[in-house]
Amino acid sequence: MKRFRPLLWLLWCLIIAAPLVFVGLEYEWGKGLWNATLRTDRLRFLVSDIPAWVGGHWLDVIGVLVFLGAVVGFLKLWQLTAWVQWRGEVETRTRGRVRQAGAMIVVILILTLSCRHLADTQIEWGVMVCTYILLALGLNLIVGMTGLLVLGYAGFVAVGAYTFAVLHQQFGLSLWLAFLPAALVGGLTGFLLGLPSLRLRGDYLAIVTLGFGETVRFLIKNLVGEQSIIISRPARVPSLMSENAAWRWLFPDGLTRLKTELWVAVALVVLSIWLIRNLTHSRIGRAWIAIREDETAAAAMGIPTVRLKLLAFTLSAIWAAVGGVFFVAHNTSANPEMFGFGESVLILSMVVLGGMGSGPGPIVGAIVLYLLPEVLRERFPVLISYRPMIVGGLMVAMMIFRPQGLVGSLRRKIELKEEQP
Amino acid sequence: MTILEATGVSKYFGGLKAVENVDLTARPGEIVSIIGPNGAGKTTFFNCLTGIYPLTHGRIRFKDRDIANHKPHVITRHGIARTFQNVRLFGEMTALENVMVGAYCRTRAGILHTLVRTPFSRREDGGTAARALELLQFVGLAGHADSWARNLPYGYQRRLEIARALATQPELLLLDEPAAGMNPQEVGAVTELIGRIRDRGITVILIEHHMKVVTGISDRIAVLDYGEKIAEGTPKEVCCNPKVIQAYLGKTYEDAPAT
Ligand SMILES: Nc1ncnc2c1ncn2[C@@H]1O[C@H](COP(=O)(O)OP(=O)(O)O)[C@@H](O)[C@H]1O
Ligand SMILES: [Mg+2]
Repeated sequence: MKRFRPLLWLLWCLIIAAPLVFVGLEYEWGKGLWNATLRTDRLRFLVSDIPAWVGGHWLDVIGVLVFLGAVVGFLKLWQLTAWVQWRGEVETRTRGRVRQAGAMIVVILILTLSCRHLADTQIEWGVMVCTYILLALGLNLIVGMTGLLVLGYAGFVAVGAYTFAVLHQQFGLSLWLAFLPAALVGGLTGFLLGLPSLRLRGDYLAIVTLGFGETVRFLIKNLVGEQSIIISRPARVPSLMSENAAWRWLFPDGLTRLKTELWVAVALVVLSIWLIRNLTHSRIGRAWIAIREDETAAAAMGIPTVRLKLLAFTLSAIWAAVGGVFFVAHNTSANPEMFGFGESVLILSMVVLGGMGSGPGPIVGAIVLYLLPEVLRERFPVLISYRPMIVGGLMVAMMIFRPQGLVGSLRRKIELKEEQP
Repeated sequence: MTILEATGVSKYFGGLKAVENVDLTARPGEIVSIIGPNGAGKTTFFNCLTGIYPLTHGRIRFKDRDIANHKPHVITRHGIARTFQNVRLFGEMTALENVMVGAYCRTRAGILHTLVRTPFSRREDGGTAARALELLQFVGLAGHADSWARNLPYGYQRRLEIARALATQPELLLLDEPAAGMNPQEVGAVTELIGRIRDRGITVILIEHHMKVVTGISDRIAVLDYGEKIAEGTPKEVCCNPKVIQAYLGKTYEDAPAT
């Protein structure tokens, strides 16, 4: 790999330079490159438009910067709390508690502020980012921690979503009541799929899950129908607008439905982070990582590998199902096409980009891969249509230059720092 | 009284008889060494004992329980732990975490306990960490608890692997060439460590090429060649056995190149 590095860099420069060349050079085929004329006027848009764009969208830009800043700040705090080395000492634990409380206060502050000052589009982004974070966190359990490649994650999301949709259609079940049955059905699906397939290793498992994802979509199409199921108003997250209620004290202006959804989404994400953090630092989390690192050695150290892989699979499916329920409630309708292979790949890309197996990795991945394209969508619609290509290129680049992901090495760095007293 | 009794153990890979009809017993508190040229089937024999390979024939009794063809994690829970010839640590974990993994089969906190980190799971985890630190100290890695396993020097990795195996609280420890690739000083330290493990009441079966280690601490030595056991006895008996000399030095003693 090292030998090819200069070549790869060259290739990379070419890929980046290509649009510049196409835009800025007037060139006719066959005339030779030296006859091309450089059209500086065309190139100028690349530079001159930036202030104008920022001017027109300053709210977006500031909002995104604040959001990213908040995320980084939160991660910083979290990193301090979560990645403190295990010592079992009371002192560290209390300090960790204080930091966790601090992190929570920061989150609540940011949420309150963003509910006041952000426009609906931006809150919508926030809700969707949280949904993707939730899903990516769940996928990371199986792909990142246990090291099993799952390509049909959207299938589990669909199971949860449709459990809710169908229960709603038949019995008028609301979102809150649907979480439990959806989690149960999702977990059961994961368990039943894992039972035969977890004896397979590597690529074979990936193929089985890929097939599963597609099968679920077609099953839904045939059993439930291709039309969307609409989730009616009372079954969704409520708006908190009525006067004289207790929460008026907390939110004097009340919360629109969308804003309440943001709070719920963030609560789900925080809860997930807490649960997953607990898992990571437990005997079960360590066993998962051991399986990922060396399955044979793990088995020889007394770890029932099949049972633990099954557990990871089931939990991951539960997370997907819960995410699916929330997504459908937010989206107000469920349609089989929302849970295609593309969605599985997108969530997997988030995990890979952020850093497989690292705690905050999936969060960063979800933010980068969902938020950035959305923010840039208005100005550069091209980005959305080319998203799969860009994501693909990004994945290739990550595999070559930073296989541990954007924040994958966070854990190592901190520990090295702590090692020197 | 025996703790381990393997009778007629055979393992074939297709036509290759990697282990053929090997008997081996170990009494509690003993150090038994297995020696033999490369490819003699020593590692394969360990893999059979620990359930990594299914047996072709044979019986293995451990503490009067038949464990042949049990799953590796079940065998470990019964009390057999091992290290690997080519060190197989969990590289992306710290030394302490590696040892804590070994405690998995001796801890009980289930998924619900660990998800919400109940006082029970927290207490258990604290105990695991404390015992793991103690084991790191025992093998002489006390200062390296937070180092990444893959960043440790080779000699430390071998000792970390022993600590990880000890964390499963074994009654029988299988060591596959623990002193391979070490300098004389480190070899001495490992020999001393094996002695201390035996002093803890743990039976040890040792595969080793360093004759100094083997003759120094073994109670008995078994010699494998081409999958078969060709000799067994005290260090003195085995070293003088003409079959053993032949296996090590070539066809006949006289043909061996003068050294
Ligand atoms: N998984 C396997 N598949 C096929 N042949 C194997 C396998 N494992 C070991 N062998 C063969 O079995 C023989 C014994 O190997 P091994 O037990 O590793 O020897 P030793 O540890 O005594 O050096 C060798 O010839 C080796 O090539
Ligand atoms: Mg060997």
